[in-house]
Amino acid sequence: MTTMERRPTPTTPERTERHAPERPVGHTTGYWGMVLFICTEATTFATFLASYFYLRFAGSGPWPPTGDPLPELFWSSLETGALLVSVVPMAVAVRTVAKGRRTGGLLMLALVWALGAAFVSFQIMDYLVSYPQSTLSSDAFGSLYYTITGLHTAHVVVGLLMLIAVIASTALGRLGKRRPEPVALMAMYWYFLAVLSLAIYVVVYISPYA
Amino acid sequence: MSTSGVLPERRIAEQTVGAVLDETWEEEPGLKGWITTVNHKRIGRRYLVTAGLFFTLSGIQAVVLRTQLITPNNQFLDPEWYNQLFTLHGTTMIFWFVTPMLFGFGNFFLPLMIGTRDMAFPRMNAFSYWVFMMSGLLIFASLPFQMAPNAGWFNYVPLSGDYQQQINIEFYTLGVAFLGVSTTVGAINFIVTALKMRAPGMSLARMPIYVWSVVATSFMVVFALPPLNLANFMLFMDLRFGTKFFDPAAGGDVVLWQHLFWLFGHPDVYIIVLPALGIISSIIPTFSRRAIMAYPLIVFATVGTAIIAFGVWAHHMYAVGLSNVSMTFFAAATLTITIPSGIQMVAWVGTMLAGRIVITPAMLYAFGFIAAFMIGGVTGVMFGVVGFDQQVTDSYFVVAHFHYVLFGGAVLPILAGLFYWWPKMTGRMTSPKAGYWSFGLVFFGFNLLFFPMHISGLLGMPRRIYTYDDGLGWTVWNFASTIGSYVLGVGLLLTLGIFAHSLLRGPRAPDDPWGSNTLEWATGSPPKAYNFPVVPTVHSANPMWDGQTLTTMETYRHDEQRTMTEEHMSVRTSELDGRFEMTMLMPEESPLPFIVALCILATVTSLLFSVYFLVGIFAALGTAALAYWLWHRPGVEE
Amino acid sequence: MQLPRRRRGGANSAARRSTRALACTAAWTVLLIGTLTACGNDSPSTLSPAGPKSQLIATIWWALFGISVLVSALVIGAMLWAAFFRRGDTKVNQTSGKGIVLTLGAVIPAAILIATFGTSVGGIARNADPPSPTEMTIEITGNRWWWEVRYPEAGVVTANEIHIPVDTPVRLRLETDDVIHSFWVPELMPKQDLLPKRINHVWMSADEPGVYRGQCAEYCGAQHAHMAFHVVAEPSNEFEVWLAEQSEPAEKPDTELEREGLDVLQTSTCGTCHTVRGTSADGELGPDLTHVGSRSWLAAGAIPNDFGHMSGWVANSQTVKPGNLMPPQQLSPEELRAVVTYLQSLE
Repeated sequence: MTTMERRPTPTTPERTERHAPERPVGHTTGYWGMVLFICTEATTFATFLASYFYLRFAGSGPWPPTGDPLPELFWSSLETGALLVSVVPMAVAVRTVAKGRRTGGLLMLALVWALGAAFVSFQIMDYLVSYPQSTLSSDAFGSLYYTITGLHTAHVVVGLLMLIAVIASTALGRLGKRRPEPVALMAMYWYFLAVLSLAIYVVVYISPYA
Repeated sequence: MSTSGVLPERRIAEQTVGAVLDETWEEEPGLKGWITTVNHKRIGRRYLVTAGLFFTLSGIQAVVLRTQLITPNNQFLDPEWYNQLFTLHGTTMIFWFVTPMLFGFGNFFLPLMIGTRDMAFPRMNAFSYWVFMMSGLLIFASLPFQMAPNAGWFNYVPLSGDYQQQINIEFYTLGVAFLGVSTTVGAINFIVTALKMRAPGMSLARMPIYVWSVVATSFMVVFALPPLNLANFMLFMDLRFGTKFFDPAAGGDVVLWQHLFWLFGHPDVYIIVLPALGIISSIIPTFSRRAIMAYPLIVFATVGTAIIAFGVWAHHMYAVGLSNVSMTFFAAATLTITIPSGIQMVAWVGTMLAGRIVITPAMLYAFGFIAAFMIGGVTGVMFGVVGFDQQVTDSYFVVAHFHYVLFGGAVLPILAGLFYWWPKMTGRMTSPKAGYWSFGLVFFGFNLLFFPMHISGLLGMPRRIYTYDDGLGWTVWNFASTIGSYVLGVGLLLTLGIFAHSLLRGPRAPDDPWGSNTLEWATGSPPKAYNFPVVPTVHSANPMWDGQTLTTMETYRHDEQRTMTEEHMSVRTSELDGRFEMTMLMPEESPLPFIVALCILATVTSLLFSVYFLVGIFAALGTAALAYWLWHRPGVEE
Repeated sequence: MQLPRRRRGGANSAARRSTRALACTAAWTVLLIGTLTACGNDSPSTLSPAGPKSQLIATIWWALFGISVLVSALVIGAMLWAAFFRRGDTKVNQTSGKGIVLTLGAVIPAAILIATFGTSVGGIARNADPPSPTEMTIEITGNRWWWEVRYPEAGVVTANEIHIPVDTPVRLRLETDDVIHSFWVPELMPKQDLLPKRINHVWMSADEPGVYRGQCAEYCGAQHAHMAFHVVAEPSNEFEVWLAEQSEPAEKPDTELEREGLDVLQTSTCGTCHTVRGTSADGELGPDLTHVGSRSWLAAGAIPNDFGHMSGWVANSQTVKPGNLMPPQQLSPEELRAVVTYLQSLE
């Protein structure tokens, strides 16, 4: 056994690759975790939107079934716009934080947060002001309308909470040039919410007109 | 070979770095360590034990059900008890036994098989376990109070709507959704672990088939669970807050539930069966003394099954009145999905024929699996024939079919896997002779229990009836089934006894008792907390047999990037080729997974009993704990 | 460097015994299948078809069964052959065998499956429409836990007993008043679900006169087990007579006891749920009792229809069919005797 104790001199090709470069290469486990999380979330909403059309077309009657008025578009257009626009400062924030420009990054993140908060406020306005005729329990149309938008808004609220943590971490220097990844993961989730809001806008607000 | 059965390469590696690693990976002892552990092997064992316990409880329910059916017009159970018992039996066997049991194997063996030190997200892993355990306790707690779900495991509306006590159904909707958190998190964890943490050199083409099957299953979980969660959410909203998703009088539709449920439900069959097939694909090469035949085809078959499985759900609904066009489509898909299974079946039998067979209890269970899965498979093909499906669906024929698939196709492989991996998990051997008896009794009991159900089904006996009249030709078959359930029960008890005996008296197991081909056998029996003292470089799909992989454990024993002695670290490699990327820091043990899971349990329980202010408090506590958890991440320098 | 490794493979004799047990089990299961055909005629068996739809499916079954036995026997036989004759403990060559796996595991099964698919589609097509146009529609409504049967043209309403003329396809209109049920007469036709607000139309025909048992096949709650019905196929002249009788209002009571019974029926709570055409009882929740005496079974096949069973049922049906929706009746023994005598006379 002692004959085995000599120090080896490996010559395999991967030997040279094994010396880790200074900057990490490849996707992280966190990246894949977020991708898969978004996949499962997206499937949930996709199924929900498919259910919307299923219920609409399964019965042969009119839609909305009990003669509710068609959805108002004012607040919903504003909220969808706000969330879609917020994608831009989010993308800028990912870059600036990674470059280590803390103030710029914080500014951008705060802008994203403000737009997200605007989304939530507009959604509440939509519920309160412009569309009070139908309720959650009046018919399938009302049920779909409130639960789909409600579930999405709940996700945005969670996103806003996460964003607070990211902003605090950046301000404290826990996130920055040396550790930019959580901002990028946050951004992935945020993009997902924005794209989703467009899909919901089209299905829930626009499609009843068709 | 030394007398203690330690592989020489591992012995040398351990001598070099074992002592340091032991210290680095040492866990806190006692109750605190028990709650805070993130060690994938301890969590895996827990999964197996907890799922085994749920299997026992659910199995006892089944024996009680069979006892009610032993004679016509039996008065042993009243209908309400019968209906709750059969619903809970199905629900818990599907959700709280098979999948978690296979997740337990995955937890223990996936990191070992790919040559890494832990799962990608160890604390998430602990969290999945706690959620699984707590949701299981919640659902089983419903039975003593006669609050158990009672609308069948697929919980069709409107029966599950206004026609049952609300609390029974809410145990189902909330319990299943609660468990869904665990399953989803666990699945994501498996995928990321297999993608990013394989030992250097293990390209996807060298990944063990078992790992492929767990990954395929996990992908299915990611995409199949959302429809189920959505359906449960809708039903919960209907019951509690008066939404109208399933109310036809207000624009809802009852068939929507069926579509959503089976959009999950049929993939779920493969979620259950695929990892079990993976176990079989691990056992057969070992005991046929050759590599598995047609490895790439089996991988294609596994992935293909996972994809096609999403296109067959409506064959559960042929009696609903679908259009002929859609029935034709789903019939075609249903028949297509048997081709991947056919490929695997031929590959297994071919491997045996081309190899040299060593008979062990695990291999006998694999034989039993092939016979049972073959029968379950051919009856499955029959359901692709729409007319025949309409004739026997919801009869005992379908009960026979899916027990051949689920007991034969999943429980027999689980037992095979237990006999196969027991020495690795516990460091003890089991008695082979007793193992043969276990197989004999279980296999005989299983066939006596389920085979007659084919016949009673063809003779017109519908499923889910708590009693039946004499003179319909069903009496003798039901009697045989019930006797079979007793034999099976005795066989399973004997199996339990074998494992208990092994724990207490079994001889010490060597590192590689069976002469296997995959990397889990390169660790100690049982493995050390760090699994591999030196992460090896994998040279082939059968690393234990290639004569090179093990040597690298010795070669790199002074290489800090392979030994990682200073902290909890693991190697990260590229997704496709398994090229080394970097070493990464892994989280330490933590009580947070337990605390967050507990908060969710409290939230769900408060929601169940409509105590809304507590829902708010516990949800806030859980969110706070989760925030604290995410705030303190590994590698963060304050 | 490859190191020699200890192999375990002993205990061969015990293994052989187990394998033999396996072979015995296989033989035993085949025996069981053999007895299938020898089953009594009293079973509502899918394999003793009495109508064109079930006939076609039974034929398909036997074809599927034959192929299945053949394929299973081949695979299981090959496995057993390996288990018995390929023992050994030496590592063998590692050929991939992709070609043979592809051929035996994909190409040949695909051929069989394509044939199966043809059968499947052919079956859908052949069972979609009746051999001759239907002239009569029977409306069947599922209830927890009984079947309402209406012949709209004749104005007949009855329960749990469906009369049809033999050799004549009839159209069924299936719907439910509450939860999902499934209409299944194994000897005549496969299942068709009854759904709320979705009406399914199917056809059914019997080749031979006879009584065919059917049962609800979709779990529908507490008494799913007792939701049977009977299809009575009879020559068309007998059927016409039956239909004409059923369309009459209830017979007038003949005896004193029957008259008392009618009184009880009209003054107690019976009429809240049940209809007896020609009396004041016009409830719609329970089965129509206008001609209840003519039926062979009570409570959806749970009990035979005779004086004793009906008395027990009316007094407290919960002991017979726990959980059913008919409450126990507060009747004195005399009232009970009278009302049951009256109901039995309603043929």
